[in-house]
Amino acid sequence: MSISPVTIVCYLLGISAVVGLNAVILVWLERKVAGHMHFRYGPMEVGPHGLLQTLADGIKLLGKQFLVPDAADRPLFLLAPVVSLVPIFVAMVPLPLGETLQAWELNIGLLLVVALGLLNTLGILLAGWGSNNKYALLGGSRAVAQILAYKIPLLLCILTIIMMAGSYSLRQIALAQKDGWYILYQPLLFIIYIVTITLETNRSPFDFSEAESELVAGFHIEYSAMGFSLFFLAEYSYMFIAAALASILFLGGWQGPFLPGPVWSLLKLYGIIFLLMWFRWTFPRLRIDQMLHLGWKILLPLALVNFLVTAGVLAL
Amino acid sequence: MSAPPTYSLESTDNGNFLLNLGPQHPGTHGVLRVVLQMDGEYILAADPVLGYGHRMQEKIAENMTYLQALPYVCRMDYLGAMSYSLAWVCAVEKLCSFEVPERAVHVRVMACELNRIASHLLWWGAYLLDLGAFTPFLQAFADREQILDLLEYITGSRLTYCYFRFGGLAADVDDVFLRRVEDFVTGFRQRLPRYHDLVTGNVIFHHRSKDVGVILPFEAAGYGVTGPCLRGSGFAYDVRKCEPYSGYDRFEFAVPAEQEGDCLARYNVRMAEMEQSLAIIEQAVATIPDGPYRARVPRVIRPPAGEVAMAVETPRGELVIFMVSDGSTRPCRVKFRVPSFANLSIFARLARGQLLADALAILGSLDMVIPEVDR
Amino acid sequence: MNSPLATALARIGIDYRPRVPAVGLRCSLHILPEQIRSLARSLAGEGFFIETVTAEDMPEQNRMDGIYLFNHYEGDMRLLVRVTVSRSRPHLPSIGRIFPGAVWHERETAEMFGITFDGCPDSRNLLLPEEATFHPLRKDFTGV
Repeated sequence: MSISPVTIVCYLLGISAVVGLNAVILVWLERKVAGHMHFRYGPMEVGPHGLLQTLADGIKLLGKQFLVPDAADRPLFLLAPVVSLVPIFVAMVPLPLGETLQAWELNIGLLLVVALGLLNTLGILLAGWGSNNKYALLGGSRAVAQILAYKIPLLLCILTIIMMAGSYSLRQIALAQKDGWYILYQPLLFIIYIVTITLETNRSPFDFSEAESELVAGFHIEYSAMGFSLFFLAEYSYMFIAAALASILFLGGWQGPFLPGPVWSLLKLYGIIFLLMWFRWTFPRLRIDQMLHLGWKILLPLALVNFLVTAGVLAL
Repeated sequence: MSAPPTYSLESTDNGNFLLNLGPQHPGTHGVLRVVLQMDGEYILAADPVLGYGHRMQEKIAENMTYLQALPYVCRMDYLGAMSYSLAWVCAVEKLCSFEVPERAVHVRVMACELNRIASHLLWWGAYLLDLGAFTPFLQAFADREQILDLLEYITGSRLTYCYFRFGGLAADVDDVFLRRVEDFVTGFRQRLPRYHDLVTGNVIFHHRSKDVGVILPFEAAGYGVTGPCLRGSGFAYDVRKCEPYSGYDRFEFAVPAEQEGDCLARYNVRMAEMEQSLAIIEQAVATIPDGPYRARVPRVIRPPAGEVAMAVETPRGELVIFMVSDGSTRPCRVKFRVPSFANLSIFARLARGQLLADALAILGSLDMVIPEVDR
Repeated sequence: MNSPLATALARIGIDYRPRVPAVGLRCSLHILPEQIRSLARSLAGEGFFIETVTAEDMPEQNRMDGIYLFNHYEGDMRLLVRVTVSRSRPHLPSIGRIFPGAVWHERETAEMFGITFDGCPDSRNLLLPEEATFHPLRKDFTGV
């Protein structure tokens, strides 16, 4: 199968639009959700109900000066936001958001998405190290400790699903849930998965690498203007991907009655994102050692037992 | 001449490093700077560096007449300004043996207790903010706003109140205020359980605050810890009970105390204190008599020579104003013994060996106001 | 009367004379600099806590008083201790090793009044800039 340059350009344009629009909507949504949980309205001034606020902020950020600290490791400092953002463009390739809405059907799509998800942490580590700032370094090293604790339970979750569906292809996994979503068979696994994606997307109660009240801003403490906004863009895009995976793995992807496929996809996906936002504005932050305890001693055994039991049931 | 080092700690070669926490840091609640010697995320030693907000309040007070110094006193603890101005006017009244009318006493108690609730509410929100939860902060502010509105109604200011005068009050309160206070007490009683629902029962909150930052009883005495921090460690020491001032002996209230001495105990003490403050306010509103709101006192305050120590329970602990008068119109010597200063001095001891995240939780649980520490 | 205050004072041979006027002080003492450490040790043994350490400058009498306030968690036992030192070369023994909280109070008093606290574990300035050598709470201080 050969790919024409035109297809690639179209794909890149499409994905850029999705990444950009998603960030605009999510930032707005986050501020609205936070606002209403705080007895206030959130942004109201720019556009109807502040819909254009994010756009205005984005333009403001574009106009700001990008500062590189003298003591920073310049190449790493510049590379870090790019390393964080670029994998998203690849990771979105195999995501099926509708019956026909998929860039490229890959038979190892799930593995690709999960593997590229790792690069986000690399970006955070590079930023932490390259900034030459102690708070940033603490944030970066926390991110590495964190990835070890959540990635293995996350992979066990995914392995269980692969075992049930018998395929690595996201499309096949979604189609295998035609008669019943996996969340019905695997409620525990779904909870473990939601906890691990909260960890993966660095969101409260697990926002250790940013930890506003401890590390000021953590890994992106030295970033201004576009460097900062690229990290922001990456964070919200990873949320999009993680939520899309959750909807495909557990909620049957685009499948649902009455409404067209892409609408169902977006409904499920933003429902899960709303859940993540709800967590963020409700819970206090765990301590880093308590998170490691949670990852290694609770999530991992649970996911492992769940995996073995599922394997046993499938074998019978 | 080279300046001496600002901190006593040194980074060593075996992987330790110094972390400069503040003076601009969201976790230090003001211009406090703490130099930390860290081993990874563990704190080996902490050295608080004070004085970024130092204004030499004691010298200012010595160069002013008693009345002129009154507004300055309220600017030390901007969250508990009522207690500060109460301490100042009570100290002068004690020196001059002024009598205060009953109505003024009731309003003073009411205003101080409303201020205490406001201060505890802000602490509640800010402490949860230190633990990484943002929402409680704004929930608390919604209720605190009502108290600020109430106090603005009688004092005209929202934060650094200067409402008490020698011998009484600056202005009388009306029935509208009393009715609004009653409404607030009823409404806030209903909202307090929501605070417990949102935070007190939260598992993560318990993990973060239980057994963290334990102040042992004998240490508390060594450092002179007072206020809710002390009552979290098992002593029911409250100036309002031990040395009743401004008519506190007329009101029924309990002094909540916990035994554990950790952050959670301090949290519970403050939550229980808010309920007690509500009870005091309720009694004050119910029993407030009619009559003058200010006694006739001389226009120029010229206390007889002598010394006085006026202790007041502020939201943060025991404030002592030690005042020496030489018979002139200005105090000869004024010492502000502020609660945050003593409470913060134990921080270096508590932070040793803790994780950075816990150290900030401990700092938050001590509830200090930096301009009060620095004076 | 068998209060902790009477016990603590009796142990080091000081008569306990409660003060009558209601000025917030249960007892007021004037002692010699050599006595302050044994007094502090005795008070610490009885469970007293340190309220503050400060000083008062009296240039017209050419004297300076170190002032200590102690209190007890059982309440209403505030003890004022005055220790007269010379204005020209003020020295006081430190009680920072008996009451760890006194260190900050002593540092503040040292920078504000120029009193040297012998044996204080920490002698840096606390509230003033680290290089400051002036003593603003002395009465003859008029500005830098």
